Amino acid sequence: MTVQRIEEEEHRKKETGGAGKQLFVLLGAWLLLAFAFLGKPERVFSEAENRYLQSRPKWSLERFVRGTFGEELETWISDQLPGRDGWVQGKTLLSRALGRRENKGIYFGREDYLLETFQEYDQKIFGENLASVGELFGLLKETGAEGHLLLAPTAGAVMPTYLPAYAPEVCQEELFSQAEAQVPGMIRVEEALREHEGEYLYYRTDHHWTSLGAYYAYGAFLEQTGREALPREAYTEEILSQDFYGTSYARAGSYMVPPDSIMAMYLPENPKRLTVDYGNGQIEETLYDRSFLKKRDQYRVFLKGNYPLVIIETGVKNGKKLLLVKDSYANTFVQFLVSDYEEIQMVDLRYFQASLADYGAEQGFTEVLVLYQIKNFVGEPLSFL
Amino acid sequence: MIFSSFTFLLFFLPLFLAVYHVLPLRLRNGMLFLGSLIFYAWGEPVYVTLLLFSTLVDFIHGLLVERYRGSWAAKAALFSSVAINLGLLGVFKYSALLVKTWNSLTGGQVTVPSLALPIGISFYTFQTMSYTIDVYRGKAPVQRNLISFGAYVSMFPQLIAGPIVRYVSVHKELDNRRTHAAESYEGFRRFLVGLGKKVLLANSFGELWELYRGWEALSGFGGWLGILAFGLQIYYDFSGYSDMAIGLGQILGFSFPENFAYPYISRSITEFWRRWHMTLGAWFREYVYIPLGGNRKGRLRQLRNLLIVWGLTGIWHGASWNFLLWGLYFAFFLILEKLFLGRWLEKGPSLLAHGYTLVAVAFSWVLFAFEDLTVGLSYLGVMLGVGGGKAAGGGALLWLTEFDLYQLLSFGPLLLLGGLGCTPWPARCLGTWLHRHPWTETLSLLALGGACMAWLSADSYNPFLYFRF
Repeated sequence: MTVQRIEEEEHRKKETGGAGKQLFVLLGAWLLLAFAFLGKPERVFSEAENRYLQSRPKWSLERFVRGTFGEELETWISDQLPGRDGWVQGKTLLSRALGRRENKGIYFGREDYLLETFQEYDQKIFGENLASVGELFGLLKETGAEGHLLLAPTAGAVMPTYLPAYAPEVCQEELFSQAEAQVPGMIRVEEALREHEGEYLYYRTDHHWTSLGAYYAYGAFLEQTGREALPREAYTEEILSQDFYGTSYARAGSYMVPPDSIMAMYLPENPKRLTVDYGNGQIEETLYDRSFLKKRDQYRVFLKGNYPLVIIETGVKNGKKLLLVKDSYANTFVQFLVSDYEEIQMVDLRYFQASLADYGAEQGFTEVLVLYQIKNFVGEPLSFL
Repeated sequence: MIFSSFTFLLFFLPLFLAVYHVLPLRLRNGMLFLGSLIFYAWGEPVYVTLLLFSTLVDFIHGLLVERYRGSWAAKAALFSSVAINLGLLGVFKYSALLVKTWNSLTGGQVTVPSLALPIGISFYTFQTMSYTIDVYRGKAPVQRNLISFGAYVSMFPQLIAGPIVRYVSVHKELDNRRTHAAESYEGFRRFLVGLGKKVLLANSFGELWELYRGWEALSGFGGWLGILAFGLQIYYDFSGYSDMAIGLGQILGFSFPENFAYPYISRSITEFWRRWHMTLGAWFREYVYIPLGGNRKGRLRQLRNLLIVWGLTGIWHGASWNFLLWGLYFAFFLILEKLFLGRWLEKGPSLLAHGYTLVAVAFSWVLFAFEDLTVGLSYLGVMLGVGGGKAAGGGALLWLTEFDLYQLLSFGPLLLLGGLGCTPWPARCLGTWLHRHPWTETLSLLALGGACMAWLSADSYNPFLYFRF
């Protein structure tokens, strides 16, 4: 020990009477946290993170030797940590203060926007998925159905000025152009959306587009298929919720961002004549299920979320029958389509078991629309046949 | 179990310390042994038997060496101990590599053994070997209490990631140690600083490195930024672990040797290795380099010895040939520095010496980070402006991309902090100031601990880097 250090040590002892009190405070805080576990009831579901939490792991020698017990115990402590939401938000706060611009695939954008990142994709999967769509269109053309492909851009592509500077985003324009070159019937919607940058096109805390965003895309869809959309004023706009926190909020572990509002858009006469058949015995007369507004994932107010096959009889008598192959982006889009078709069948390939090509041929559709958000479309191999 | 886990921080450690400090002094080694076995068994429920085996082997060999001191039998016992320890390492760590290499050289079809590497085996075999050798040399007294010896070998603070604690340096404390509030407080302080280095800094740099290590559109600048991130990650991870180990040792009443002394401020590779993983360097010097004759038998023998020591140091870091190459790469610079470069560096401007050292170390991390040499070499190529990322505009060379700018902005403040922390300044200025203001220090430590908890609970990236050691 150097002389200086010894002097310091003495100085310190005089001042505090040794390190005992400091040690006491340090240990106290630590043990408080450890002990806070004992009295705390177990949480099953995290509202903030929108997921089920780990329950107390079951002990068995076999599970211990396999390592499952240890892993579950670690997750259990982390999930059941007293004040967990606060800790997680604290991390977001601190790492943002340290300059970090994204967390778990979500950018911290301008004006409290949490935007989904789209930084990489697999060209091979994209090409194969496009080829598969092309094949489906070819087959259904023989039975008289015209094919359209609509790939929805992510919020970042529509509102680039909301992204952090130099965000290394995939150029989605190129993807759309490639799709246009490869698949006849590609609908380009990004321009129509971008014209309205600054409007409420995407949720701030969720990766989906809003009803308004879907409306502008719908306008582009009609225009490019030789029709015309009704003006926005023709629609009744009804605010369904003003306290929506979506998936981006949960993923980014975010804090202090105001909630989103959810708006429905429908023609005054539409709701009266609809039937929606979810295929599991549930038949509704509306596109909206307001019971979800009281739950975490409020976006499911639109058509209850995702089902393998949903058949909508719209009450419009024009003989047009649409096959809509889709992800959740279509759920807001359907609000507008119900004025243009007599029947809409929505298929979610993730849950639909039968062969789409066979089913489509049987049903005698007049049109088929494949609607995916671009990131979902390139994310995994999809078979449309 | 690893230190940066909730299981350790909130369950194991408080429980262990509580029991440990309640027990009378004479039972504490037993508690340490038991606790360490539980700690180890948590991650390696099967291989804990191997740890016990190694403990027993060297305990008995130590007794044999003592019993037959002066006769050929003592020497035989020593050789037997070294053979068994190296045998364990050979079987569990290197057999797969050797068989694979044999197969690829001869076209043979020998089945590659698929043994998982027991965590920490390279650390504890080195420690037990040092015991028997030191007993043989008469540098350390024999340990006749199996529990005490077991406590030494399995001691959880340094069991899985060092520092390598030689028996001679702790044998007194093993049999007679006390704990004081001031020491314990200092130990907790050291532990928290280490935890912060690991969780806040190393893991963040690890994230940055992960972005670059497989990045197809790597640019020249990106190559440098990536390897900088890796260098910072491994430094903060490893030195953080050492800090935690030393701190825990202090809480238990041990004083472990230091393992890192600001390696990145070195002015030569020779100096770098005096400051990086010091206990490993010391081990090889003591038990390989000097017994081989060190520098006392002429220049040629010395060069040979350097090559042997650095080849071994390299391959110690993992059973893969890139680690051997990594060690020999350093031998190359060490030999150059011994021959003439060292004198030049001393005379030249210090900025040049620092630059040379950092660049040489940066290249070494490329060898270290990529097991596949061809991948490593193409990464190196991009750094040097040869090749260039294939996805970035069809083979065109790009020096700086938007991706790099984005990452630089996103990680900029952390990189600055990380760079600053590689120098002694923060400890010298902030550390000393805090030392004079004890309550500010305590509050800062609480805040640091809180930040670590926040990082861990947000299930951030939290890898364990020493599975290969």
